Amino acid sequence: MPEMIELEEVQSLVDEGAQLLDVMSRGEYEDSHLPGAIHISLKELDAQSAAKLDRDRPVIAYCYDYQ
Amino acid sequence: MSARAAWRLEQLGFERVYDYVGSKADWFACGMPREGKSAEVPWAGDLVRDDVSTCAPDDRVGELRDRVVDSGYDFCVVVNEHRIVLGLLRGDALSKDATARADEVMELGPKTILPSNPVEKLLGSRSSQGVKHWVVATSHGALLGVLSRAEAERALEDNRARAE
Repeated sequence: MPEMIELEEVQSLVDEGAQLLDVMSRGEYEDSHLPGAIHISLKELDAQSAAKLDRDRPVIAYCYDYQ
Repeated sequence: MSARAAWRLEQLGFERVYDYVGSKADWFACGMPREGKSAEVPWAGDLVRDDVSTCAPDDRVGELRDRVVDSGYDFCVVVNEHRIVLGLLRGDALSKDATARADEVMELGPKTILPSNPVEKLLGSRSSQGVKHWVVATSHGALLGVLSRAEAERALEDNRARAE
């Protein structure tokens, strides 16, 4: 079960090598994203697109807000 | 949306998956750095200065006056031990009873802005007309510092000049 985390834990995990995954649309990603975030929109998140992610490192998914 | 994405990743075999609940809005509202087109335009958090005078709720007004004058601002932000903004001290509150506690005379619930406010939008808003300084705080209420109108206007002009 994915763990829900907040800012402080995001920072710690990123410091330890976690990957940030932005699942918003391409346009929203291009407008603003967290430093170093990888983009795969939720609509495109499948085995092929997920190959961009390193399976050996934690992944932190984020969108715009609490939705 | 991030929750669904996290579940999807687990379904795809990823073992260490997290859902950043507050997501982008929370990150930016805490003054954290950003990438993308929005990084090319100034936000309040980019220009914030942390040289404003602060005090604790139980500080005595008489001990604060010099500190406020030295800071170059005409007010002091009252914060708790977590830097949460509780109030503002300015004007009469700073010049009257020197033995009063800050929280007895402070202005309650001062308006704060988020660091993720674009400066252009801020300067164009009707509610900001006549404002000399904005107190900038995170979405959790923690003080980041102060943004001055002069600095905001300068940054916006510079940004427009670069874009031309």
